[in-house]
Formats: sequence, C-alpha cells, structure tokens
Amino acid sequence: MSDKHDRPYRATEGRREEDSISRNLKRVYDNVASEPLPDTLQSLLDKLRQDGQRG
Amino acid sequence: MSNPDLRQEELVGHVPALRAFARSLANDASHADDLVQETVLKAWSNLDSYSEGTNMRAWLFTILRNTFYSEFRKFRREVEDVDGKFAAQVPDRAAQDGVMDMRDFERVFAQLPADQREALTLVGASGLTYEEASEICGCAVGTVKSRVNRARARLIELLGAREAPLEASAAPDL
Repeated sequence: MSDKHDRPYRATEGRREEDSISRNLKRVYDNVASEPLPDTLQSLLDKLRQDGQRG
Repeated sequence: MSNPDLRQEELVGHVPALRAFARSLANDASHADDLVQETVLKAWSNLDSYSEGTNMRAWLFTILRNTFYSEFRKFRREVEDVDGKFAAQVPDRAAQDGVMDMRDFERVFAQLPADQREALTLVGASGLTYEEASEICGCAVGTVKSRVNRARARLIELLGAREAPLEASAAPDL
C-alpha cells in the first residue's frame, strides 16, 4: 500500500480548507453588504442628496 | 460621466460594499458604520477630485482605509484581539467536527492583524484584483499576496476547518 493510499484526504485537505475559508469570507461580506442601511447612515445619505439637489 | 448627480448616485450604490469592508477592518459594527459615515462625507465633498472612468469603489475603499488608519494612529484604538476575548471563544479544534460555523469564522477572522484582514477581504470577498488591492493598501502586489497567504494559513491553523468528505466526482486520482 502506498503512502498516498494510507492518507487519501491529505492531498486535498488544504484545498478544502481554503475553499471553506473563501466561502465563509464571502458569506460574511455579502451578509453585511445586504443588510439594510442603519437609520443614521440612511439619514445622512438623504440629507446629502437633498443638499445636492438644492445646489 | 460628468454629471455630479450620477456620481453621487454611484457613490451611494457603493455604500453597502463600504460597510462590509469597514466591518472587516473595524471588527465592530458601530465603529464600522462611523467609518462609513466619515468616508461618505469626505467622498461627497471631494467628488470633484474623483477621476472619472476610474474605479470609484477602489477610490472609496482607499478613503475609508486611510480614515481607519489615521484614526488608529491618532487614538491608538485597539483593533486586534490583544486581550484574547475572541481567542477565548474559539472552539477547540477537536470539537470542530463538521462544517465551519460562520460565527466561529468571524471570531477567528477578527484575530488576524488588520493588514491581513483587509488584504483577504479586498481580494477574497470584494472581488478586487491584487493590483487594485495593492493600490488601495499603498503597497506592492507581492505584499498583498503575502498578506493573503499568511491570513489563509493562519485561518487554516486556527480553524482546522473540516468539510464533509469529498464527493466521488471530486476525488483526486490517487
């Protein structure tokens, strides 16, 4: 039995961990990005827009 | 695009991404939103200095990052887990017996140094290229790559992430 048959997952372990990290990283990022804006921030944007329209 | 209204609307459209990037830097939702507010105010009042046809998201990320680090230098705000409060919550590797829990991931991610968190977020989550990330961070492309690699290695070390066994179709030729 070769060494690689003794440890069938070892060769791909690092890749799977990296894939898991990428997925979680993206999920955390996307979760925050998809949250509704907090009221304070939305109010600020509304005010800036209004001020901009007034010129 | 010379219409200031269009630039303003483009800026507003990037606010969700700004919040996500800020959260990765600040490790605290309230502080992150303060950073975003400050960034929006600075950017809004300096829209004239934004070069049309360039990457507005990268421009905004740069402003946010500069704001974060200048604040950090000024107040010496603690941004890393020096008191170990996150480390204490990290599950034992032995207990990590399945798909990585997202909250565990966030806790461990928070332990990384800020420069590694930002590099990983910019490249791995926000979809920017290494070149764009290097411009935002004001460093060489190789430095960004190194930070990303170190961040990944550290996360793997801390989490010891284990996924379900590979499906047969994905199994390597052994």
